Amino acid sequence: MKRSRIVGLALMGSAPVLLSACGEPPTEAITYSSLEQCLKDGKLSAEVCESEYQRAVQMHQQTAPRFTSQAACEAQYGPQGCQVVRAPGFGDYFMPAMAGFMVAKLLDQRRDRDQAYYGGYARGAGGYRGEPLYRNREDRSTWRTWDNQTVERGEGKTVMRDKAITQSRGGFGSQAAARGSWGS
Amino acid sequence: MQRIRAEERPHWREQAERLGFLFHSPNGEPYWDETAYYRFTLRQIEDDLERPTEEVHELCMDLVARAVRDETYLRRLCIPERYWDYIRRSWLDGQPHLYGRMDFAYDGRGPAKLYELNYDTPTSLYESAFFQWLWLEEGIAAGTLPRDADQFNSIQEALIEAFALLRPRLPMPLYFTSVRNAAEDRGTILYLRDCAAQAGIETRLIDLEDIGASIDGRYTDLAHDVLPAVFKLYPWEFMFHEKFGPLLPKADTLFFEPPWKAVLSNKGVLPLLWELHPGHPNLLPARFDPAPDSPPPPGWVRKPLFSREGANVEIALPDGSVVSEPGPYGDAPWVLQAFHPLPCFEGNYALIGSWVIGDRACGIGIREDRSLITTDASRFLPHIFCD
Repeated sequence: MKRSRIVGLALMGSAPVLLSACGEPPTEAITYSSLEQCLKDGKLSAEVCESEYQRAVQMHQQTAPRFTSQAACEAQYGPQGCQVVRAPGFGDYFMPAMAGFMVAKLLDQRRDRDQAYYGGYARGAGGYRGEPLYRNREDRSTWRTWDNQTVERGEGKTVMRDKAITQSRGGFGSQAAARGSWGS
Repeated sequence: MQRIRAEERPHWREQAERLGFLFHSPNGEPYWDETAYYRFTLRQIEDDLERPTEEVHELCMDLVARAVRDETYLRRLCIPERYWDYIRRSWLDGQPHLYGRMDFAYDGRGPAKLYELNYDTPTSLYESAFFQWLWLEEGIAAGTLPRDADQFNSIQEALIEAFALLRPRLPMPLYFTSVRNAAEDRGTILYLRDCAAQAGIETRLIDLEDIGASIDGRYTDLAHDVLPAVFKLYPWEFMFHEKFGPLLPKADTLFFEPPWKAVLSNKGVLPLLWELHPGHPNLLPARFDPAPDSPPPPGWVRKPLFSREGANVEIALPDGSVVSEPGPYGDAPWVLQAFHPLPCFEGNYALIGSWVIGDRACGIGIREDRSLITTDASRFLPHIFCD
């Protein structure tokens, strides 16, 4: 056979601009395996737990990785890790079951950009954002976001990045504007 | 190699949109076209396309190795001198490359002839690697294609494997960038990003126009994070001449495709390959154009050194008549390539795009046009092979 054995899309087919949502690592995130756990934990108000859980479910339904075969899905998420979705006129497809959710508190200074990038997934009041979490077949102990980034269990994950003071923008792309199309 | 008419799957447009193929019919004109498909034999695929692709790829790698050591090549390719060392270092450091596409004229008989290389910013990737595959699987399942049909297309598997191999030494996150408001380019980087994510790479998206330059000369995103690695669907020759270009050699960003691809994204490679390997069965005679101001001699095709999607290509047919495609690339030197027409099937001229991922030939996609010159308005048709 000279063709791929399986192909799947992890990210495409959902609203693609949303994918940049992960461009800003939250400074703080708390993970829960269920809504009940969030409510019991008490670190977040019941209102935030409820709204961010719903947001995570909604995001899960719209953006979870999807596969054209159960085997391909289970290869990544393990047996019992996948659910079937029936789409009339299209055929069945498979996506991982949501294994938990994460509530992130976002930095205020990035609000404008978040708003543009999250699009239909604008955050709840108070700068929180719920996201679905998954578990991989090989690595059951680690939470993963929908684009396969690992998330530490618990709270207070801080990601430090190499920062530099930006002086100017728009220094690439001028010839595209002048010439139109260039992909080949 | 046959062109076979077929019924389109009634749901394909809905499916395409659901799966992120948003440029299937730009401006209402079909781009993905499954009202027909091409059928090859295994021998045609393996002997006439797969093997020559890998062979020509090796000639190209050899050409890069020569060019970085001999500046007369770089000069003839019109690469600005300021970037010679940058390109040379990227090659000598072994900076990895991901993908490229060769375009061949092939009619099912005789050697496939290389039209050109798209080794820096090739598109038509998603439809070759993914949507074409889906079409085959559904056609076999529905009984509209032979049960034993196969496709020369392990492109996605190879891409994910290539990303997985890169991952251990890749500075992350890997940013994917293309210019705003270009649906096909955006679709291509989203697909590549998808493959990278499936290989476990941490990825980001940024519009090319949003890339910033910091006070200390590094590239930044909108949150002022430095870009450690960037996949750019934007030609090196443009970047070299733009405002942020001069920062490239010191910016400490790893680029895909790597800077040494600038050597191969240039139609000057066609005469250089011919000079180095005259008479090679898969190459067409080519030379730098000594008289670009007069019409091309009959039986020759004039192409600008830098151009995309068939723009500014001019064919002087053997009878002296001229077929040409206008475009914005009239400002660079030109090459002449011997005229070798595309095969014509029921009024459609077919061009075969042969994909190289890493260093391996791993699939094809076919584009059809009503004209001898394949442009961005041509249609993409799927293929099968079986014996």
